[in-house]
Amino acid sequence: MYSFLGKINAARKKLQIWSQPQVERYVDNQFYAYSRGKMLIAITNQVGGEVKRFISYHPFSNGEVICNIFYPDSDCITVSGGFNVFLENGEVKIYIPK
Amino acid sequence: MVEKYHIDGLRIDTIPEVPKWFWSQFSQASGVYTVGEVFDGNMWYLGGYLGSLDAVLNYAFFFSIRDILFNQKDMYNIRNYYNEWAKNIDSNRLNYMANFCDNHDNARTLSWGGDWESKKKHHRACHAMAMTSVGIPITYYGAEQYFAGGNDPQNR
Repeated sequence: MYSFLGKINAARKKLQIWSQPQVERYVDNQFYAYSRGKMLIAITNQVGGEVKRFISYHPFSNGEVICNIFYPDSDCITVSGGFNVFLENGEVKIYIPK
Repeated sequence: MVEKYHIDGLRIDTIPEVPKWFWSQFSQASGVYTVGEVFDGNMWYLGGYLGSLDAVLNYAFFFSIRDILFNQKDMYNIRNYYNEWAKNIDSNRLNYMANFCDNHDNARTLSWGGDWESKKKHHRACHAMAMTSVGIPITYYGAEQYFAGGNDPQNR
């Protein structure tokens, strides 16, 4: 948990999200996503299985590579229109530009 | 004291025990960010202290977001939470509210019943929201190591 908080804190500072507005990007019964500038946060209330959602309304540009701050070397996406977010077993994902 | 120790901000306890006019003068005299404890989840009531102080501890976040995640309520309630704030305060003031998921005055959320691994996932989701949502995050000691103490004094 200490490491989890540290990674979020580092990303907060890197993108200075406090100066960016919060924008809701996706919501349904089990999933919520929002952005602060070029940070996209995806969370779920489910703790088991996979929650998959296609995000078409986001702050990134086509061709931009974004990575999950918790697995920055292995969980990256090249944005092309929209993109899928997979949340496994209740995990949180926070995407920022690589 | 603020000048001597280069203090950036003041966290003030039990705000409702002292008249608002005092906090206005105190806050202005301090010359730094002031955030006060108003132990109440009612947004209208919390909003009544903004102006006297820069912000209050966001007990509305604490009660609402924690409940949605840990009790697996409909995530549309997060939208409702922000919509309710917008009805009660100027949206700019939300930037200064202090978001938290756990503190020393309440049984730590991880002390609630339920599966331990599931609770840890909700704990992470709640803290991710506290640290990235509009507002200023507060992470209380113990949260970083899944502290699960119950009512006072186990929560300290």
